[in-house]
Amino acid sequence: MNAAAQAPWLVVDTGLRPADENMALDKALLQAMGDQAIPNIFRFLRFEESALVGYHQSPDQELNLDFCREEGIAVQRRLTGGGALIFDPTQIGWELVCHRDALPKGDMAAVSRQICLAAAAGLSKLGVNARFRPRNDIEVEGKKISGTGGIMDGDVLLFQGTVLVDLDIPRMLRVLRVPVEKLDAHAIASVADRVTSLRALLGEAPELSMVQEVLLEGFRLHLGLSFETGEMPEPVMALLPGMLIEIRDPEWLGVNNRARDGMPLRKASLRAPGGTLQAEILWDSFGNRVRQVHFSGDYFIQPRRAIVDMEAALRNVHLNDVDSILTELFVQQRIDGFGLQAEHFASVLRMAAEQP
Amino acid sequence: MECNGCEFRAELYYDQECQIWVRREGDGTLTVGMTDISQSIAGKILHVRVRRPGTRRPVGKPVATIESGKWAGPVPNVFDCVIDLANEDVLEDSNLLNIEPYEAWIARVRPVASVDVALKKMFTGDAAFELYRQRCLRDDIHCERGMR
Repeated sequence: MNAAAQAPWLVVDTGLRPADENMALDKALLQAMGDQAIPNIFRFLRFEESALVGYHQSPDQELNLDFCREEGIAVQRRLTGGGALIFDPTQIGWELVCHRDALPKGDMAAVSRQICLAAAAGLSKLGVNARFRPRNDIEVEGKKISGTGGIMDGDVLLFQGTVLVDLDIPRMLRVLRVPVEKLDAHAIASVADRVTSLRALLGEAPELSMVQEVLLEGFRLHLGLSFETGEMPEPVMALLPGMLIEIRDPEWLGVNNRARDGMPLRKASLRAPGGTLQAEILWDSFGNRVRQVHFSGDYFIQPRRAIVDMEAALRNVHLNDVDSILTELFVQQRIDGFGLQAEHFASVLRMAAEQP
Repeated sequence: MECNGCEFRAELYYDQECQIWVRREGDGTLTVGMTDISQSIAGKILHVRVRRPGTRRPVGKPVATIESGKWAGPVPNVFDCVIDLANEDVLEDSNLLNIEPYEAWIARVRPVASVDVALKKMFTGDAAFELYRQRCLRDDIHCERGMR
């Protein structure tokens, strides 16, 4: 890291805002950083209830837009990659905006890893065992508590994450398109096995200011950053009105629009020596990719978190890569499916993908 | 030619940071792709989006965007151009950019000024290799190709 990287980062809390303002601020921050007009920024942000798709995602394919309209949930597209998510005022967003040399060297996966390790170290100070889970999540006891994503533009980067302080799973399932056929108690329990919140872990939701403080502490400890708190710099605020116009242009949200039936829900079952395995997938028929998968069925598997890890590793994966990913995971984690092997999981995915 | 395992092709044109390569075509267009350096830094590429044919892209507005491991990023653009064509093979299977970055072109573009004016801002041959080598060494970049 260079000398400029050692200067204190400016911590700005932009409070509760509509999604379009938060996106416009991200755009303004990127440009101001590219213009060398601002110091490194660590921003805390919160959202009025919103559904956010990743930079390359289509709202029609990822969200239940009718429900969002009925409920007045804002729909926006992030500047950063990754999947769709919901934000409500209980959640905390955090983000770093800086030049590439302000963070440790390495490829993008290495940068993500270092940032997630720092955030996990911070969250652990709340008394939870937060850990980095490849590719870009932070988990506690196998359940996701924070998702992250970034944008790299030349040598400027913006990397952001969420912290689930509280979580309304039924509402989340109604907003996001997930690979389950029926939104029933079973589906809710299944999500509760995979996602958690600070309230669920600690018994009550911690103060937002406390979560912010431990996150900063994680970055101090893990990356050696120092911070000073202040207001959003003037060059960013000067760019904001123009960026809001760009974000509110329907072209911004609709630029990747693809038909919902281009990503159908498909499922298949397989009887194997270790039990019955079912896969439900959101299938990208254009790119031949498994976008999301949900495994269920009647089987035993150890370690218990193996299923969740397989699902995480299989997000956005080309069908040709499924076998190698699963084989590697089985070896790495010494997964024992009591007869169920990596090839059975790969087979049921292929069967689901090939459904008419 | 190579540096730290990163392949370099002397006949192509490169931007100052060697993020993209450009090839002159016989019909007045230029073909744009990502260098071995760029695909290695990005890691496994999951999405590529090219702006619609006919869209004008001034300097600084990307011809295409990519996504890898939840990182989105523009494929930079160093001259004013209009998109002519996207490589459908790459749109369908973005991993090709990791496997064969110099064959898996991303877009064909038509410079608003002449091809010669557009290429004047770029580097080729030994001068380009020196920039390429410096970038690999400065940022300690070691290249790896994707597999299928």
